[in-house]
Amino acid sequence: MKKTLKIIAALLLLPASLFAADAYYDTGSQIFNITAGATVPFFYSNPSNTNEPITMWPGDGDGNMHRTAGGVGAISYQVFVHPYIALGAELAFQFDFTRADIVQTNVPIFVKATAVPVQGRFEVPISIGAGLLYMSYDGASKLSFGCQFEAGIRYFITDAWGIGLNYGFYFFPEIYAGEPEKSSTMSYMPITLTVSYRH
Amino acid sequence: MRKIVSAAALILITMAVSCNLDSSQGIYQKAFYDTPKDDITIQSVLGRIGSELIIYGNGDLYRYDGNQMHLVADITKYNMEGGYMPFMAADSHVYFSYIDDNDTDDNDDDYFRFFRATLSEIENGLDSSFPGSHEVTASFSNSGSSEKIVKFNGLFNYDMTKTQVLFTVASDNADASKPDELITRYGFINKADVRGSAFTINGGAEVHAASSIIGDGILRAYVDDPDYELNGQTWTETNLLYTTNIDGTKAVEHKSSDDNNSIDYSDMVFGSDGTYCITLGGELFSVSNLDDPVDQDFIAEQYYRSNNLMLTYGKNGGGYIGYIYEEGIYVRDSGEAPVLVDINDDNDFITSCWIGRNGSKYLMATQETGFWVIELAGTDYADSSVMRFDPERDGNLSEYL
Repeated sequence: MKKTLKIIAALLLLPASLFAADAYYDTGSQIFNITAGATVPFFYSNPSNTNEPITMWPGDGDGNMHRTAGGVGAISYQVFVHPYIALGAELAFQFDFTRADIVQTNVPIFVKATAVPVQGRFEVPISIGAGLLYMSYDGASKLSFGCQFEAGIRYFITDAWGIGLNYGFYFFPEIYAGEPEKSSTMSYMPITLTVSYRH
Repeated sequence: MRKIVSAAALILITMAVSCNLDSSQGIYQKAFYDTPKDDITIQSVLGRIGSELIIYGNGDLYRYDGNQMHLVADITKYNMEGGYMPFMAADSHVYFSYIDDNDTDDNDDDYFRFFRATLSEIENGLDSSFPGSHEVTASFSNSGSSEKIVKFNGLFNYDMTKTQVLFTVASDNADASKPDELITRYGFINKADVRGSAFTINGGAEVHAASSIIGDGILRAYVDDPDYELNGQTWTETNLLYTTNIDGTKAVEHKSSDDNNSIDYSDMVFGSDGTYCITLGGELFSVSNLDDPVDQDFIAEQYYRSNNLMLTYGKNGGGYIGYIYEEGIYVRDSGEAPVLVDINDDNDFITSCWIGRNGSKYLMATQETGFWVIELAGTDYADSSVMRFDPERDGNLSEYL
């Protein structure tokens, strides 16, 4: 029993031990990222549709989300407010196609916080973001809110330039305060490559 | 600082207003329910409002003014969420059927209801609480009132003036799980009052449970799989043809496929001038008496190639019948031999289709290539033209041939 508790304690303290390593960044360091990749429709929650309140994955069949896999591009700028934590903003453009072969786009403008527990030449950035979301489809548009979670790995080829691979989740709720029957939530899984410049 | 926060909040609220958004559904809902618009497939022709045909295709409602197809509204969302199914257009309204489950999981208290909406109401979003929503009542000439409709098997608006319906009834005291108490009937939906706010089903001819409507007053009962389960019963292979009285009060059962030298009723078409057409061995035959066996003498009498025979349109009181073949469109005047409309390249037509008539124009839809209009001209139809609705031109016609 004692051995088990020790293992659990060690696991809980692991992130802290990572932070205990020498920090590469200083407060005030900056990092700029250009990101591009694919998005996979993950789930669509539409409570108004009692027959299919939740659909998953791309495809036109029953239970699918009636859209294709899509793409995403993003730029972000962050400043380290702590040697292990950077704060900044990200502007992204995400798109995919519905079964009507019409493009649907989402433009998240998020405040983004990134923790970099492993840093140096090889890094493990873990990010959360939240903010405004501008969605549009077939001539109609709406401003809403969204959030994201992202984790990845990146390697700095030079002291300033690096490339990374990221995986995450977008959560895009479309909320109508007075008309809940129109509200629904879309979720995507972005899989992206990033080119990073740090200074 | 407070002013800055207030200004930012005001800007945010202003920006949060939806732009050009269908008032009935959100962005993601619209994207989810949307269907391809480039090649419109007609699901049914509902009837007329004013001088325009109202058409249900690809989950959308369209109105056809004789020259142009106009999108009224995408109603896929309402079909998926509420089960709303358009089945008739008349008196400035489109009529929808749906199941009212009384907000319970108990199917026994479900009711089949209809409601109607104007085109402008539909554009703003369907709601079964519109005035005109009404429970269906049924009146059968040969039965009492102790029967309850438990299922609609199909609605069919064959000639745009009357809606045919197949439905299953059970007696009031019958457990719906007892198949012996279930009867499938065929009849017509009528408006019970001049305002169309009530509906009745007249007729009620008893037919085979596996029936489907294939023409005006003609049904086919066909079960391919001997283990086919329907209404709790296992049906053996059957191939029956029914014709019904014009008021739907009596169904006449015709001979089965075995009796008729293996006629395949699946490709049977119906001519309103009293001629039936049946495919047999890849050929099309005209039959006047459905109870006559088909023999070689008959085959020699009148037949046409029929690799892709599709649904036809029959003009009431005789007249044109259009046939779609591998090689083109045939038009036949009542009692006359069919004439091939001179179309050189008709490969796009080799799919199922429906033809509606508007003057000399025949409206047609295919499963793969959308709407077409064939305008007949000339005594031998030599001057006929074929036009296609061009989705990139907002439904305008473009010359095809």
